[in-house]
Amino acid sequence: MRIRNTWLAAAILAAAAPQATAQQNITKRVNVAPDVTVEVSNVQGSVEIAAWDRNEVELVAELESDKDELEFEATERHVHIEVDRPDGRYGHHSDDENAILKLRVPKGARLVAETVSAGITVTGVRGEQNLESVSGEVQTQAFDAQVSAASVSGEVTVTGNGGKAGVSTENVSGRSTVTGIRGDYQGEVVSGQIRATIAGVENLELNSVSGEIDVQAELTPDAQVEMETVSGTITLRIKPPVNADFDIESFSGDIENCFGQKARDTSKYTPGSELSFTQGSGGARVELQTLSGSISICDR
Amino acid sequence: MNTIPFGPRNPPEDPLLAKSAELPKEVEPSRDLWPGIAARLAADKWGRDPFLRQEKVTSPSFGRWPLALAAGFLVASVSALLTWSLLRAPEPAVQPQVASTQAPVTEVVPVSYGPNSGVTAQELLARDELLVQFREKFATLRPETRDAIVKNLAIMQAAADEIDAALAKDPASGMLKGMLAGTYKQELQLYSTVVTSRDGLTRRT
Repeated sequence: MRIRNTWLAAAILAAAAPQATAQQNITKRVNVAPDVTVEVSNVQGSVEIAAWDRNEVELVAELESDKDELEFEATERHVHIEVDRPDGRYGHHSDDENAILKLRVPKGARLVAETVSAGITVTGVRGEQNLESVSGEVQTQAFDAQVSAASVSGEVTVTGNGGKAGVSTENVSGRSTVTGIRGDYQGEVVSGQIRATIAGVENLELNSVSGEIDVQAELTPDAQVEMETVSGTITLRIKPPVNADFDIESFSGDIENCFGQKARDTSKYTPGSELSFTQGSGGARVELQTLSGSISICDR
Repeated sequence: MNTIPFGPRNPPEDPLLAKSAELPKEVEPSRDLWPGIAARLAADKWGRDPFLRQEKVTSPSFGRWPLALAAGFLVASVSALLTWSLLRAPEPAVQPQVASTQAPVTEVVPVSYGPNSGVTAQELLARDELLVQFREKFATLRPETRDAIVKNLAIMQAAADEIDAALAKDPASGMLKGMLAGTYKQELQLYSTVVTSRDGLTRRT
C-alpha cells in the first residue's frame, strides 16, 4: 500500500512538473565597453539594474510565463534586452505572470529603460539615464550625468549623492521625490506632487497643473528658479543666506512671504496680487506664478 | 426670411389660421365602405375572430402525416445529437464561461482640447495616428494598468479643461499655453510609452 501511495505521489508530482518548469530562468553575460548603452524593455514585472566594477553586462531573467520570449542582442557598445509575449496578451487571467529582469552593468553605462507596469530600480549607475514607466515605480540615483525619470501614475524617486547632476522628472498623477542633488532640476506634474531638496541650485524649473510643488533649495548666486501652477500650491523654502530677486504673481490665490514684504493687488476689480522684491544682495532670480493656487516662500 | 410668430391671434391676421378656415368641415369617403364590413361580420357566423378561422384552414390535414412524422424525427435527431455533443465535449461548454469572467476592455477616451487651447488640427491628427497603435496595445495590457491609464487620461482631460477655461480669460498667457502644450506632450508620451515598450525601443529610432 505504501509503495502504491508513493507511485501515486510521484505521478501527481510528474503531472504538476510541467507547471513548475513553466518559469524560464535565463542568464546572459557579455563583455562591453565601460560606457555601453543598455536598453531594456519590459511590460510587466520588474527591472532592477545595478552597477558593478566589471566591463560586462550580466542579465538574470526570470520569466514566469513560458510564453515569454527574451531578446538579447549585444555588441561592445550596445546591449538590447526585451521581453516579448508572442500572443500579446498581458491582461489574460492565465498570463498574469511577471518578467523579472536583474542586470549588472558597468558604472559608466548609459541606460534607456521603458516599461508599462513594471517597476524600474537603478543603483550606482553613473552614466546618463532615461527611465520611463506607465504605472510602475521608478527609483534611481543621480551622480554627475543627466537623469530623466518619468512615470504616469507611479512614483518617481531620484536620490543624489551631492554630485552636480541634471535631473528631470515627469508625472501625471504620480509623485516625484528628488533629494540630495546639486545643479539643475526640471519637474512636470499634472495632478501629482513634486517634492525636492536641492543644493547648489543653478536652474530649477517646475510646473504643475493642479498638483503641489514643495521645494527646499540652496541657491547659487546666479540661480534661475521658475515655478508655475494653474491651481496647485507652491511652497519654496530657501536655505539662508538668501540673496535673490523675487517676482511672484497670483491671479486669485494667496501669496505668503515670511521675508516681510506684502503682496499688492494688481487691480481694484480683480483678486490678483503680485510681489516683487530683492532679498539680501540679490543675484539669483526667483519667478513664481500661479493662477488660482497659493504661493508660500520662506527661508526656514 | 419670413418668420411666423407663435401665440393666439385673430384668424384674419394669421395666414395659417386663414388657410385652415378654408378647409372642408367633413371629408366624404370615395366609396361606400359599409357593404364590405357587413360581409366580413356575416362570414364569422360562429362569432369568432375571422383570423382564428384562417389558422384552422392552414393546419395540416391527414393527407400530410408522413411529412409531420419526418419533421418530428428530424427534431428528435437534432436534439439527441446536441445532447450527445454537449456531453462528449465539455471544454467548449466551459470556454464561454471563462470568456465571460474577463473584464471588458475599458474604452480609451483621448483628451479633448477646448477652443482656446490652440492645439491645431495637424497636431490632433498626429495624436490620432499614434492613438490607433496605442489602442491595439492597450487591449493587451493587464486590467490594473488599463484602469490606471484611463484614470490618468481623465486627469489630463480635467487639466486641459482647467487650462482652457483659464485661457478664455487670459488668451495671451504664456504660462497657460506652456502648460497646455505640456499636457498635450504628456498625453502623447503616455501613448508612446505603451506602444514602444511593446514594440521594442530600438524600433522606435
